[in-house]
Amino acid sequence: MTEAPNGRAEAAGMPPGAPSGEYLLETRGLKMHFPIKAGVFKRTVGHVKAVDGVDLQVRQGETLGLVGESGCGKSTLARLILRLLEPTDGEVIFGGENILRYDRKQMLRVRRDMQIIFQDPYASLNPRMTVGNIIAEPLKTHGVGGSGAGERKRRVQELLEIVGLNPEHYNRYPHEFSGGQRQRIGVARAVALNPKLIICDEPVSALDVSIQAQVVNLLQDLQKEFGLTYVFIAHDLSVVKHISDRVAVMYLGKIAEISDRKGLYAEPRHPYTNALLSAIPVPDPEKERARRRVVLAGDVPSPANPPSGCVFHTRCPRAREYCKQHVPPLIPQDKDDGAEIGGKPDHRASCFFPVLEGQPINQRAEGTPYRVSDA
Amino acid sequence: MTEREIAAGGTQAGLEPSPAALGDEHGKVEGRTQREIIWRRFKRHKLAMVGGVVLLLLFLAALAAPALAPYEYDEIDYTAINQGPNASHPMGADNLGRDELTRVLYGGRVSLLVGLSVGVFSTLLGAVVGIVAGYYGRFVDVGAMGFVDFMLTLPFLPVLLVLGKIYQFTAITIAAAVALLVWMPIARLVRGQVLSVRNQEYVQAAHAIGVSGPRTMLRHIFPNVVGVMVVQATLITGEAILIESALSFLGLGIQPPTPSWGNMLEDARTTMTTQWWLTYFPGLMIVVTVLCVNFLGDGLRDALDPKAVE
Repeated sequence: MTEAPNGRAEAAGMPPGAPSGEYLLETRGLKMHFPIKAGVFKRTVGHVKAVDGVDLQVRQGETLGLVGESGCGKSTLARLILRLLEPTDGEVIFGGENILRYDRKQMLRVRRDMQIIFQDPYASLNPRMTVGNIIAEPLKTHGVGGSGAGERKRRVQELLEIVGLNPEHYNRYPHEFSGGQRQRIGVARAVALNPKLIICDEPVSALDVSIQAQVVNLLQDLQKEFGLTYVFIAHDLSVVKHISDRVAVMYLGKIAEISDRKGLYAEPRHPYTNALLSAIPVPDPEKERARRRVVLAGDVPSPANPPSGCVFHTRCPRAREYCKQHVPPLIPQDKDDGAEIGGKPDHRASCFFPVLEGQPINQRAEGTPYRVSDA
Repeated sequence: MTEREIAAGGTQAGLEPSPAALGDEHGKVEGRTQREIIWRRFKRHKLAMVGGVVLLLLFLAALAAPALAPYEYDEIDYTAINQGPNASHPMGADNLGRDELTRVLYGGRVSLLVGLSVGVFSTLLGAVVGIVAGYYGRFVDVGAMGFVDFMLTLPFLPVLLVLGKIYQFTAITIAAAVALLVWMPIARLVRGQVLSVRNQEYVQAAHAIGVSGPRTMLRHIFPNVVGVMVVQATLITGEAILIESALSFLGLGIQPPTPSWGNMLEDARTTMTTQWWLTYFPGLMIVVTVLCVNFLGDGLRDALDPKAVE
């Protein structure tokens, strides 16, 4: 790795000793098209393209933030990775193997290594089970954490302690806890099997702001302690900025832009990312007043009938005729970017006319379309 | 105050402390099992306890009918014909001079057996079909619900009439036949409930952990649809007692002179205005039984629901 002029390489750097080009998790062309059925005979009249060709790479030990508006396919993507939904097309490569080809038995083994934390701490815990039983369930299912009930109880209490709850409360029901505490229970359940990867599906969105910080800190502590890898889904850009090593922005089932954190927040290239970032309020009244927002026109198009070409062209202030006819791939953004992951530059955006430094955003783009070969 | 203290204080400062919180105060959370918690909560439900006790007494009385009854159920006393309640016949006597109290005691044997076993078995059958159909969905659902619809189209009484002609009905065969003909609405209700529970995040969490299908249904789905089931079971119990009486009326149920509350009620139809005691007592027993089952069901549902207000 060469010295990077902008310091980006450091943030995007591999954990020491990790083999180059090796990902813990990779998705290739992942698609989920939900059929729309209508009429008496339940004929399929169309598809909701919730996730439409997503390529993601997640390295061991990092946190990949995944942001996007409601309905852009973030949660569907999470469920596809865990095979809670069967994708229409594509591959999910975990630990070097395509787990979509796994049979039930192989899948069970992989589930020990990948877990999920859900958004709603009220819906994600079975109201009829005690907290102890909820946390013991993964242990029982996989036959770990001791064979006897006594041993398992000790492990459950240990887990409660790890996530900052009173171990004596294992016999209580979820409704006896507050939202933040319930989310901690969800975290305890997720880490019970010592997984490698945890998908956090908006784990703090439903929580009070002060509690959000506690849970985020807990997640970071656990990451340090157990070497966890996170895919952290959120729509709160500040939380994602705080926790992520790299960030991917989704729009209408596709990745709009992906970069290391600094690169994305400092130098957003995709017009959509620019618009998103300009919406973050600044906690300083004077700066807040001076903040210039990029307001997008219209609504997100229906994923059942996504626009042709670049899916963002209907709302993009920079869009040109070219954008309506051609689908932009994820184009590397830095010709001179020293940071290479598996031989590819780290900052990529699916835009033909990316917003370069100093360029106006609210204006139709000029020049020739950016191409993969340009990078 | 930390978050933890707030939550703990919340449960303790609430209207009534939860069992777990109570356990804390006494410093022995350890010893209390799930079953004990449910039992404690059930005991607090006064009406359910009363219902359970009354039902138990009815059961014992029916079982001990030969010992308790002052007469034989088919003993005819010509001098007592159509007598109202009096010292020697506390519930009066019917148009053949048989003692009504004796017949009510014996009748309970048939009616309670039929009512309760139909209530239990049809609910279990309906729940299993409903849960499996709702959980697996797709062709399992289509197949199971198709079968339910088919069963629903069977005309209830004609089928029982045919069965009754082929097999001589006893209390047990009546219960089995009725249970096999009334479980379908429960299956549909439970299925509907399962469809919503199945999409809850805790079920997805179970999938993510790798919990097997049958175990998910048992541990996650079933406990969350049990409320609907219990209510249905209590309704069906009452219905079954009445169905048995309808069968008796058509001459297919329990044959005279063996009494059941149902056939006693049917026999007394024509004399309802003149000999009120002949409809009153068997009718009262049916009402009391159904009420008790209802209270019991209520208590059970609440005891199984950790969130229920105590």
